[in-house]
Amino acid sequence: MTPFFFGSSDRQLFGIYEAARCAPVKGAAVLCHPWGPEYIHAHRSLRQLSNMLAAAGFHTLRFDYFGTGDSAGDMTEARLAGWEADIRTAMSELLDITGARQVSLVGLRLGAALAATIAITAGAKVRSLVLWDPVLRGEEHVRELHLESPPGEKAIKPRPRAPEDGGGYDILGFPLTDQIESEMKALDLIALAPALPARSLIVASHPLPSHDGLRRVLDENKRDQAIEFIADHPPWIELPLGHPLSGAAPVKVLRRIVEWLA
Amino acid sequence: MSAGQLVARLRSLGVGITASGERLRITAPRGGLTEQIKQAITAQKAELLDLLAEEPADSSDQLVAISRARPLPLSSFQQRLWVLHRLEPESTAYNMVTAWPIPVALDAEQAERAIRTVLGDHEILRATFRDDGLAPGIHLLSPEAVPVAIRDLRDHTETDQANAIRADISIATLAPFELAAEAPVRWTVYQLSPDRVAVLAAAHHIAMDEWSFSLLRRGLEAACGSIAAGTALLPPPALQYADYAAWQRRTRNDATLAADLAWWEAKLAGIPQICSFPVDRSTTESQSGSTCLFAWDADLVADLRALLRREGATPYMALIAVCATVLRAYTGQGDIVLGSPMGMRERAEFESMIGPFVNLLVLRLDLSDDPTFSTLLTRAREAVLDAHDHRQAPFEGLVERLAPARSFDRSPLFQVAVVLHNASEESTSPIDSGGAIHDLTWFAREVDGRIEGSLEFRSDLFNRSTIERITTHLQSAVRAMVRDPDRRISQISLLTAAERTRLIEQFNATAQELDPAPFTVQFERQAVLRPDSPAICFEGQELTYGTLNRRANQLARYLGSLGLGRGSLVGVCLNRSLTMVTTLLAVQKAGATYVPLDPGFPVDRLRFMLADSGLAALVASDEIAGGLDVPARVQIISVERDVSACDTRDASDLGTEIHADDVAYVIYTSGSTGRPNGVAVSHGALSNFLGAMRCAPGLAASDVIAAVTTASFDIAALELYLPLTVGARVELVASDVATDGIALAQCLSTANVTVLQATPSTWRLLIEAGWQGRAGFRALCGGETLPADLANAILPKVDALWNLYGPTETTIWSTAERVADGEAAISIGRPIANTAVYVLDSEGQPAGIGIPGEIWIGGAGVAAGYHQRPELTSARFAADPFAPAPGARMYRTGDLGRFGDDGRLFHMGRIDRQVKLRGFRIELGEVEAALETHPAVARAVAVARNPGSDHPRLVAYVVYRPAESLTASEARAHLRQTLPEYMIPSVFVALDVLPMTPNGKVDVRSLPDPFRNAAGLPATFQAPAPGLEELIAGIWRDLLQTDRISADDNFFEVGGHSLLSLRVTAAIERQTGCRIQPRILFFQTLRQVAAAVQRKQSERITAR
Repeated sequence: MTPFFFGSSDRQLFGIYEAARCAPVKGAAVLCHPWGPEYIHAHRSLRQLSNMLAAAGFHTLRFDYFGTGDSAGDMTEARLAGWEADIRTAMSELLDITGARQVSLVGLRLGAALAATIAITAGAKVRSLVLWDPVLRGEEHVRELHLESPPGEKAIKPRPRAPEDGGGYDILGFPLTDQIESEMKALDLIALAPALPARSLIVASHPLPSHDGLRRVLDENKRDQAIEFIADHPPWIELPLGHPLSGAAPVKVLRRIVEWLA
Repeated sequence: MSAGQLVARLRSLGVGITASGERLRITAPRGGLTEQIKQAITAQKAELLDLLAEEPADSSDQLVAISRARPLPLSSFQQRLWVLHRLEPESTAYNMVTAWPIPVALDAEQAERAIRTVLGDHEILRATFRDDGLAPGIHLLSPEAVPVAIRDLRDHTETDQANAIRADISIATLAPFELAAEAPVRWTVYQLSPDRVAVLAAAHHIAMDEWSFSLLRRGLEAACGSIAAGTALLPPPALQYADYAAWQRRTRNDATLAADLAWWEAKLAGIPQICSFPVDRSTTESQSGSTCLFAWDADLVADLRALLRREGATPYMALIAVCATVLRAYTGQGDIVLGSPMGMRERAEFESMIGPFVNLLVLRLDLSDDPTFSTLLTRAREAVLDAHDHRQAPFEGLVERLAPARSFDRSPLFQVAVVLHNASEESTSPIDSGGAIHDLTWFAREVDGRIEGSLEFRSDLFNRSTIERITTHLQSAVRAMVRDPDRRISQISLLTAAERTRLIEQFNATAQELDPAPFTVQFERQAVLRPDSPAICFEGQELTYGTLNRRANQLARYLGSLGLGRGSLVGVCLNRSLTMVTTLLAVQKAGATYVPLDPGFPVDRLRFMLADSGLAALVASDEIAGGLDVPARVQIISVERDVSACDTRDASDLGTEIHADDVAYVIYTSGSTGRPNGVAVSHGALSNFLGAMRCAPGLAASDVIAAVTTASFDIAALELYLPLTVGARVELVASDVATDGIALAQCLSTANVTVLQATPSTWRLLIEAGWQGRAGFRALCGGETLPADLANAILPKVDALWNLYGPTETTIWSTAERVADGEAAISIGRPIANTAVYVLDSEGQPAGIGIPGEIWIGGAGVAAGYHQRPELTSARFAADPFAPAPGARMYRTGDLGRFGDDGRLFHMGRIDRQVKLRGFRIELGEVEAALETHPAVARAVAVARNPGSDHPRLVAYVVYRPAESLTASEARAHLRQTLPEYMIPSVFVALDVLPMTPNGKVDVRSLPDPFRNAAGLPATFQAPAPGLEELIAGIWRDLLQTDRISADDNFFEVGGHSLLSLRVTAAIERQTGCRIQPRILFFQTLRQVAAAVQRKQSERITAR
């Protein structure tokens, strides 16, 4: 596991590269994170996915978007379009590190929505796409974020933020600025669904109302991608410590993703 | 010296001395008693007895018989063997088999009764070792339950009887024991005549050692005597081995044990993973053993003894020193680790107990400073005495502390052991073993003034011839030691004269008469022979021999008209095309030297090469020439204008005089100081190479060769020129096709290619793209190490696979090997025609067969030198002292290699900082220098790392200037300005400071490896060890409904959750009585959890 900074000096992105640990090497994958508290809760699962992929013969790179995590910048400067560009930068970097010609993109929640956008325009560079519990409708996602609560406690109304700080709301310590919120609301993966690359996997562990819409659009457009439902622990939701199922990792979903990519 | 002083001196030497009645009890490390000491003791015996009688007796460690109500305990030695047995039940390495004739007149039935008596007397002979869940325990069989086979050989002749018993011994050595169910000794009684019998005893080392066999024999003969005479049997012994095992536990003072283990841990910290002779095979099947005999004559031994007297050392110490010396020569390692099995029968009571009283001691010697023999002897002495002081720490404890990741195919901590039997020990019948426990065990004994014995070795790893060679080298070493003990060990030669002749002359008998005509003349002959045959094809276009020759002649005349000829350097910077090949031919025909420049290189690099080489002219496209800032004195020959304007010129052969010494080409290779160097190769060398290749692998007019290598690498000459000397066809492949497996496979089949030369990386691309090969295909592979698995993947698809080796400085390739199926280690073969290969040690002398050294290459292929680098040339090229011809030169490759028995060479890595990545030669220093030109970089170190799964990658470690840093992308962009793509590091690691060794060099070993799992997450499956780990793994498997649990798994990461974790802890409590906190399952691995349970258990036991 190598932590390092890539990208340009004025937009330094923090990433963690993991080399494939067995031969033959099957490919390279960029993992795209969710946002905010979802990122924190899902961190362990994404780390485990990276490890399992490396053990299966994949080089992996996971990274923080500009303005999040350890990457440079402030959330107030962040834009979704910038994050999409960050994914492209991560892809180039992984291609440079490994000498591969193509990468696969694996996105979780918001990361899936962003990855899908890139995959549709990136052409030959993207070998395959995994959308793990993707954010389908931005409105739905924003609503869920507003309802985030500390594990086991009652939902608290998010505190509004000062306009000079970009406005918006504080979601469990993560600044959801007006700008980002409005850009998120504009996300509509269902509309993009017909253009998804041929080699795409959509896997959902947590049913959402918008899944029906997605299924309908895929059927209408006669796309082969089905949505696989694998009942498992949604990693971006944290169960409180006393809960019987706390601490679990979504092993079934992880195994399915590795199996499908390989 | 007074008795008191003598005792003090003895104890300081590690010799134990106590009084036991009227006898002196002396325990000394193996070979610790020198002649002087023995005489001193004898002389002062009376005084010593008086003195020692006054010492307080140690009463706390009485040996008593323990209760037989519970399962009996195992000694630590037995525990270790039990674990090994559980993990490898089929192993016979610990079998010990021998047979004796009984000197008492009795029949088989009486002998059987005698055996049962002995069985009754010694419990260990009927002990079964069962897994009691948490630890093994001994359950005894009754004497009647142990089978005794009886064979009637009365009707056999004596010879047949001996053969029959011999045969049974062999069978018995290879019969595994089922320690849980049967006794550890198997018996056969042979009736040889009505009143003569022989007995065969086949034992497992868990119950016996060599001394035990003597005791057993004596006991058996005594019992036979009593039974035959009808007299009373001797009473059974009062104490048994199990009592010793219990005593061992009881008296194992935890404080001293901890201190001893801590001492060993410090002593052995950082020992090399493996310290052994290079194996001939890597083992995939089960282990097997064999023996090789040796003897040192009385004269040599007498001289040795004289030396030892002077130096105050013992024969055992000499053996250790000699073994270490030879090991160092073979491995190049300075840190040498040897095993020293030690008998532990230190109390009178142990002397009559049957059972294994053995501990393994580890001796570590530092030879890295090239000591003299004398110094080495002293170090051996210290090691032996120190080890003896700490001999109580059980070997198993050491292994657990120092080598927890056991690999079961080599013995832990040390792989080579040395044993010296005292002449006084009885061992009149040889004991056969069922295998070799270590890679090599050197058994020696002193007999009648000689030293003789055997080397027991793993025959699945080593050829007998290798061990025989090691035996002669051991003798050479001791001869050298005796002759001149003040000589440094690197200066001794282990070679015999015969070996030397073999190495220098026989292995290099490559003299052959080849066509000395320069390549251009050889080509012109073909053009006359077959003017209409296709010579080169590229992207659908074709040039026949006739056309190619004419065009080349015309261009050559043009070059001549510009004043270019012998001594002129002409740069050729062209994309791959028919024109490129024509130009290369034309320059040579004009008598000039060509310098290939890859248009894909960064501009800066090309500019440097232009300036450095002193070109007189450059052939390039307008576009490229324009971007290059070509100096005024260099004539630019434009492809678009000048080359095509040649077709009006005279197209006949020029007949230029070309001498063998004239330089054909100058090719640039990566330089360690930051700038590339040009290697100048003569026509004579080139012609020799082409002639040699025509013989082997060989090429015919009917062949089609695919040329995939860029012209700026010298191996392209094989692809472009070799075919043109035999009338074959060249299929010139574009570079984007050459790097795409599928496209290349396609091209090979469409163009009916029959020969391809490529690097292993390219071959892998082809194989992974599904290339199927074809009948009659010849595969040539070179540029970097050919792994066995790749060779095995290629072989079925082709008629022949050749592995080629050689640096640019000795003209393209210098050795060749036709690879055979199924070899574990791929050789780089034998020198080609008129070429010599030497493997030399640090003194410039030939290293023995099997011993690594630096590869030097001599003969017709040695280049003229580096262009305009006289100092570098004299540093790397030297006079060849071994060649018969005067003025012969040889080149120092910087590669490590060793010879096999048959003269085939094996490559063993680099001596310096040059690496091969995907076939490209890279001087790490050049990458570092390029990085350091960036203002933000203070220091940089480049290292090639092997991710294990993929081809090696370059990693750059960078120390930035204060307050500066670069992202990986920016660093790469900077390097791309001056370095070709293949020299750009994959990963950049920022460091605050570079780790340094004590002598001021960068400590490359301490640099973090980005491809090693920093988080310690497991890469491979680790089976849970028998006992607690297995118990807990079973609980997890049940609850998680899964088949495989690795010892490094974390409960939650394999699918567990909090609720299940409670059930885990409940089950553990039920089965072990220990309650652990469920929360430890969150972050710990199975192994760690088992250790925690273990600790809880010990706490409970001591608390009672």
